[in-house]
Amino acid sequence: MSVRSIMCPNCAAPLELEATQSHVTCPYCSVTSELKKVSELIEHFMLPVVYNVEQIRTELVGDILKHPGVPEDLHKSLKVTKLDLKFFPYFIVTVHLRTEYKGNGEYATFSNRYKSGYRHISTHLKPEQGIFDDTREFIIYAAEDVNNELLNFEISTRGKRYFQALEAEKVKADVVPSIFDLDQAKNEATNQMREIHKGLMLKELAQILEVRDKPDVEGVYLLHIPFYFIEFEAAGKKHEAILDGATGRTVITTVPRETSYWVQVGILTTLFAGIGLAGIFFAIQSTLFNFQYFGIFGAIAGLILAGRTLQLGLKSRYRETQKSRKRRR
Amino acid sequence: MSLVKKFQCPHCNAPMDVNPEDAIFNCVSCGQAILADGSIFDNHYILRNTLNQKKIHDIVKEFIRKKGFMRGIKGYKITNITPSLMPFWVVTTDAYTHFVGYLRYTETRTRTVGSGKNRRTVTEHVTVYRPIDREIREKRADVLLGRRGSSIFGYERVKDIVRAEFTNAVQFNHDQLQADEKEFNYLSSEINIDAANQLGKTLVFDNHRAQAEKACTKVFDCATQLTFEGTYFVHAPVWQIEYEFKGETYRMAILGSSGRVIIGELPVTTTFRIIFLSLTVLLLGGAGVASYFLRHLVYVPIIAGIVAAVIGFFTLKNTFKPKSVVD
Repeated sequence: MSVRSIMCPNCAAPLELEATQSHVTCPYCSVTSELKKVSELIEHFMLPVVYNVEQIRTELVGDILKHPGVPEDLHKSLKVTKLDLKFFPYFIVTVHLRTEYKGNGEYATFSNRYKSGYRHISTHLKPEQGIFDDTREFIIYAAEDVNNELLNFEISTRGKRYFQALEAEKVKADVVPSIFDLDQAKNEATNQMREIHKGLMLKELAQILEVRDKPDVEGVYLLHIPFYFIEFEAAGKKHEAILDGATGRTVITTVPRETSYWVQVGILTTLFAGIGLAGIFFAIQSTLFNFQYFGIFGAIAGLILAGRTLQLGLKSRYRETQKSRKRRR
Repeated sequence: MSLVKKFQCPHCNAPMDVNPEDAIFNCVSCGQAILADGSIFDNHYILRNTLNQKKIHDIVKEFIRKKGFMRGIKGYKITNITPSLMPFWVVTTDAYTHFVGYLRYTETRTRTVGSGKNRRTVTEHVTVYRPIDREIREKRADVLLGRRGSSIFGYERVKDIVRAEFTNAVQFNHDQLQADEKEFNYLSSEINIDAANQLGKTLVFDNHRAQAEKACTKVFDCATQLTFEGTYFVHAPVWQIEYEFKGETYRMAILGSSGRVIIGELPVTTTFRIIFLSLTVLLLGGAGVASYFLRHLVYVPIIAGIVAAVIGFFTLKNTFKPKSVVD
């Protein structure tokens, strides 16, 4: 994405803008101009940075403090060592796809009646054709640097406004360029839609012989969302966090813990594991003490609970929201 | 340069302020809903708000008393109350699906074989195939969010409630809104009516296919036809509350039409953690006592161990989690 310069049509002030920017507001005379000469007019939006550095720190500390075993004076003691604000690009594409397909679908004949069903089934193929016709929305992460946290983040589009390079500059934020242009974003979404239809086709057909589809992109826009990348020091260790600058949500953070917390987790794990090991001992040596099967409960429950304590206790990452797993791919 | 397009209300001719993120607008002077192409849209409904600030305080108090009774939450403070009108599309359809497939299941049968001394009972598992040829015919009301919801607390949860309460909605009335719901933060929809219909159709398709797949082991054919019976733009009043406890902020969302708590966050206090940890330990102890007294039976310690492990799995989660989300 290259930077272009134009002159404000109202007051002739020099303005700099991104190649895909469609609107610009002059910082001197506050007149908004629409730019007609963009290669293809992408609707390009941004979310404003609602949370400033101080507020985003409060949000982060608030989320961390809800965890057990974190230093209680975190509001004072958390030291931000590095902070970057970056706008990340997402394409939001609505695709309508009509797929006509022909092929061979399965059907079955049943024989050998048994109660309310049959004992035998034999499947055959028969020619089948049909149409899938639907619309879905895709959110396409368009930054070159693949950040799984941002890729899986449930983005919000609320409060979007036309992209202004100057506004990002004002808050000293980097704008991460999109690796896709408009056509590539459309293609990407269309391909994802085709995959869905292919999946549906494979449910209907055993063999696909002919596919004709007509994609139609009903809406597409580019949205830049501000994220804070924070490195901080707490409880004597270095930590990292990413927060959404528009909504204040924590994308991800590592949770600083006090030493006493690790001791507690350690004691608890040892206790459960101890019961588990003692249980195994009693189960094996059952005849020796005439304890018979007594130890089995401990062998089962003690070891599972020890594992669970370790799993939960050592979990050091916290995410406030995540895309629900049910989400259609 | 005349690059600015002037928008005017087709109903009362007042000039309109158009926000780029809205796909449906309401005229500020007459309240008429207008689609992005400038045409009048009359199917605009609203669930009427019945709450006020005082009632909100009571509901929050009740919620914390009832749902947070083990946590020792004393001295919380409500710091922020924001009432909003949240936009939904309700797509009503008459949907028909025909699906064909089969269901495979196992039947157990016992029969007696042999005679005399060799007479014995044999248990067999029989695989049975049942052909399925069924229809789904239903009138549906599918609810779609007018906006991508994740940053609006409780918005996605309201969807299911709107489906149930949709029949209580009344025609949107601008004057009434100005009189009764003036303080509400009005949100419009960013998806337009055509997109709402299309996405609604996809919801029906997906839902019916899921029903077919649930009924069959293998679906051979599944075809859905539907007719649209009307699409409504519905606003639901939602009160978003922030309250503070021990310096930290927690959120709640309450539906203004019924006073129902849609979703709420509760602090996990030290008391709460200790209760659940003690529960885990007691459970393990209980399993031990049961196993000791019935130590000659092999299945007692096995079952006691499994029960303690399964329940402990959840009680331990409560010990470690940062906050509770309750609906």
